[in-house]
Amino acid sequence: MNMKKILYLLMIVSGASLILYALISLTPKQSTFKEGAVIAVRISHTDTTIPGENFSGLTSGEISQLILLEPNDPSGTYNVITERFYSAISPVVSLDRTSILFSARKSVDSSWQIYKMGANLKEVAEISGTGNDCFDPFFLPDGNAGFSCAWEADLFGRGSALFVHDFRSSETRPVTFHPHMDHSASLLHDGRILYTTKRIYPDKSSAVLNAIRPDGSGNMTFLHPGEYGSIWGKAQESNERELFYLAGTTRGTGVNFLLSVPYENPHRSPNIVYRTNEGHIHSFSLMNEDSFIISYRETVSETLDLFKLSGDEKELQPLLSSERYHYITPVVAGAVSVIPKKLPSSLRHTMSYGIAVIVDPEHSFHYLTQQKEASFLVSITSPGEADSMITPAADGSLYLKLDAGNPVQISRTNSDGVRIGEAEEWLWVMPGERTGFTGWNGCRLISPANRVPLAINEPAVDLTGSGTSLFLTNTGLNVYGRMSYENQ
Amino acid sequence: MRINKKIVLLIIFGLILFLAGNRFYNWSLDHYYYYTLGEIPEIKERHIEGMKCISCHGYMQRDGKLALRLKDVYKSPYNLAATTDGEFLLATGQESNSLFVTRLSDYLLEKEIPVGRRPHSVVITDDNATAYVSNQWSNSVSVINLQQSVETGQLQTGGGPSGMALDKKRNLLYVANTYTSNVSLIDLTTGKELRRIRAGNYPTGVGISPDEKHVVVVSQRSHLTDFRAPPKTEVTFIDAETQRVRERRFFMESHIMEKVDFTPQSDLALTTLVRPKNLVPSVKIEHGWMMTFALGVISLEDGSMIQLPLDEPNSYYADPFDVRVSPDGKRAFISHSGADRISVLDLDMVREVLADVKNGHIIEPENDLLLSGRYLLTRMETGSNPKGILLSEDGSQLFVAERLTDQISVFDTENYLKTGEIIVGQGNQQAFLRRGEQFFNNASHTFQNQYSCYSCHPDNHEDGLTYDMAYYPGTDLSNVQTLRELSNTSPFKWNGRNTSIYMQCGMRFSTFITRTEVFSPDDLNALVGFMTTRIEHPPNLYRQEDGKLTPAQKRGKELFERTTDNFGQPIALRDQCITCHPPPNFTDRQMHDVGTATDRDSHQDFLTPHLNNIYESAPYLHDGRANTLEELWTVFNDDDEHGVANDMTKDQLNDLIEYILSIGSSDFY
Repeated sequence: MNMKKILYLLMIVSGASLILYALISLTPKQSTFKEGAVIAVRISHTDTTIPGENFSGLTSGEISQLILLEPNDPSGTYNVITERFYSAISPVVSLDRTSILFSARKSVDSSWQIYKMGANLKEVAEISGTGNDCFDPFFLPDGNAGFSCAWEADLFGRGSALFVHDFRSSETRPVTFHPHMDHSASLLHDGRILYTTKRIYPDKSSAVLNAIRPDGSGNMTFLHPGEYGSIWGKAQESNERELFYLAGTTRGTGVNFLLSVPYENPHRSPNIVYRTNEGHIHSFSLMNEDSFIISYRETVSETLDLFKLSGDEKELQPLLSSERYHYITPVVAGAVSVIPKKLPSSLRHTMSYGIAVIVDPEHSFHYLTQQKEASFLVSITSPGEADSMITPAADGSLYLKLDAGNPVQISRTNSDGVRIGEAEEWLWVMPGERTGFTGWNGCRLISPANRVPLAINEPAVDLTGSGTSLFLTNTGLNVYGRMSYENQ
Repeated sequence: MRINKKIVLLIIFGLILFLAGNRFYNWSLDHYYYYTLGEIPEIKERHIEGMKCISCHGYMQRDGKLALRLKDVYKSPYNLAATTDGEFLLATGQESNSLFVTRLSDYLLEKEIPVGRRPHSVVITDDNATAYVSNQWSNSVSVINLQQSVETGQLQTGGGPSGMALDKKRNLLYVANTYTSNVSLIDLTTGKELRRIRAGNYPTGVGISPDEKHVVVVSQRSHLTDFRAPPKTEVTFIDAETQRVRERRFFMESHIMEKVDFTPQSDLALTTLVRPKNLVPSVKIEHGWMMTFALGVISLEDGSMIQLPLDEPNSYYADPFDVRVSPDGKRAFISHSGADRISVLDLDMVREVLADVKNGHIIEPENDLLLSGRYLLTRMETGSNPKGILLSEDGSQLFVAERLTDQISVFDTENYLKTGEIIVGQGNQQAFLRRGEQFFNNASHTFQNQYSCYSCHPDNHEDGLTYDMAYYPGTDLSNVQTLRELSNTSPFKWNGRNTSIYMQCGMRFSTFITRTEVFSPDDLNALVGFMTTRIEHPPNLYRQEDGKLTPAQKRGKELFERTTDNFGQPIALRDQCITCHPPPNFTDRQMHDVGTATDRDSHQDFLTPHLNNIYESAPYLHDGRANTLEELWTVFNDDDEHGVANDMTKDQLNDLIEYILSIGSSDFY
């Protein structure tokens, strides 16, 4: 090969590279939703149940659509962006504003599934792929998604669980395993999922906010509404780490609150951002640190309209109203700029069990100071099974080995097996998870004393294989049987 | 068909290049995994994207030219004092070995006075004529003439002088000697040390009450306790009148008390505390299962000692360092060096809580994460690594030494706003190694900011505790190891699984220890760069100044290197000390079974620890069972598996230990 040929070759390669570079440069960048753009749900005004309130409205025949509007546009016009669907609800915008997730059904007979739509409003992909109704999607910090899906089981009745979906592997996994109704999830800046949950078995409780890691570990109560009654809708954490949520003694028209608490300590008395004595706040979205868009109506005969809520006095300014439609679940693109942390997972999916260590500060204290040994028993309740009675260690501690995904209730009982105090929340472990909690009461905000829990000096109490699991999969949500993680 | 020879050669050459490249790529991938992830298959997918060869082959090398080029000159203001006329603020420069004198009228730096190595604290006489600066790595106190701004002399102290208290009435200076665990009592009239008073373990903070009756000394490290017993850290009460210890009491389940201050009425002394959960299985991090932080409240009237949490359920305020009470006794200010915050507490509410505790209405207040809501007024944000703090005479201003931003911030204590700053250093605070040091000292890389690297490795060392970190609770307990001079001592961990610091601090670390988002490659490079190039041992206290060995140490060295026992029998190579502990780091970096495993351990062999400044690292063995070096051979070496030693006389063992104590920085060898 002579010099001339080499030069020609080099010229061809350089030219091709330049063309390639130009092509890449000229390719339109991924479109994004404009910062401050609002996506909301529009529903025909009838007397039927409003979709988006848990899943009680999912079975209604109402037609709802997602709309996109610019809040600063005085004309109040908007575009319907889900016309190709029979009905659509629960929108959420990705952190980078390039896509949205929502729940929709294609026809009156089809189930609600989760879809992803690009900001160009053209590319749409179904991600849930289950036969059950799925709703309330959310984005995870790693770009993956989560959502709630309904299930039904003979023993428990009807509930819903949280699922996470990996876009790369197209795998969907359940992350909550208790007989609860889990919905309205959002992300905390610390990377955990914050969701509204309500126990449905063996008794029904009022809704609280729980936090859980995206891998399903570390589930715990995050916030009790306390005197403010019940919680509904999606809570939202602001850039300044204030947590906003809706609560009220009656859902619907009555005393409704938009409340805020600091993330650091959500157990402080909440700050009342807005209060209505007669109307109903259906849902809200942060616009920035101290202004909101809320879906609100004053009486049940009216439609739910969108309002801006801002200023020191927190006055309502009409944003979108109609006598024909309700406007609910507003979402403001880019309202929160903090990107939640990506939490690593320490789970081992090759394991079929996890472990739990429970310590009791009070009995541990008495044991240490007065040599007074724990004189109670611990009851382990597994759905559909007889309770197991366990004697805790002298300091009141327990060390358990539990089937992964098998919800259990751990309660303190007297020597006759009669439960002392209120029922404990359901607890489960994920494969390979190690967890623990402090004390035998609802308030577990006590850090463990720095002592060796006596229970760990003995092998773990092995409770594997003794219960029945609430087995949730992405294909058959109402399967009720033993869980087998190895087979997933 | 005629085949062009050149083309054939080119194809063959290309093929060889391709195969070699492919082989090199596969090898480099394995090499990368080996040094960053290890062999746990579940972890293998979770590598840190973006790490490059230069990380290990540049930043991590102690003598690497790249890391050294990225060094800058820093001052690191540490502790503060002000003249009584409010004219000047003095700050010790921990890294610049100097004392800064700044004018408070315009916040400008007036003078930088050279002092000894690693200056820790500064106190000023009432006439504002003299300042005393403790030099932690020079074992001395510098006497500074403030009129002339020069060091006029040095007072000799014990090892590692740190906190100081001036008894103005009696003209005495109390100096806490951290490394020798005692207090030097110095007569300032003569400049002579009157006596040494034994005080705790690593005493660091010392203060005298406003009524000049009580001297209180607080310690960093727990006393050596029974195996798997909670840490207990001494508070030493000295009678200011007699200068004798009146009482020794303990804060239980806590340690790392750095400073102490008093209420104006002298009824309470306050100190800061770290509450590790080393005995609790690390099954989770939420709700303070790994670490919490507290205010230690000591009643000087009835002697009661109560710990009150400084944290909240979802937020932790790591590494509290200094505490100052306002002149009216209504508020306490606490610097959190791992959280870049100042907490302000309402002391009236603190007193109410104390009453509730004494009345039995609250059990274990120290663990109640909701309790701080009762007495916390606010938190103020500071620059990186706030250490010493100081209130102005009238309490209207708070000065904060921000060690890792080389400045002193000024806050208005009425509205808690920052009103000014005093710059003491011009180094690039964003430079690579400085950022690494900031990461090391900041808890934002753990879930809910629960702890920083410093929390378990105070002063870049170790906290003397054994943690329960393995998957199954109560097994494979792990004694924390020092981070000083760890370059060229890989692998790490007692089981030797971490082949590099990248693995130690990388994905596995975030998965199992910090339990939050992994460091970015840039941040990890900075952290590792700092850890491998910037952490030194303090001077070895058992070495003579000229570096020569004492006669006993020489005899010990011979025993350390001996090849025959007292009966003239040859000692097998594997049983000679020097075989597994060769200089310069006194580790062969290999795993050995020396008979120290117990039924709690999942493996029999352990990584040989290095021995430099080992006297600072009690307790010993992988699980911290041995409280002293002597116990290694008198209690835990029945079968001579940990070196042949049962033939030694007591004197010989003493000599051997004398030598081991003298093994200092690897720079000696």
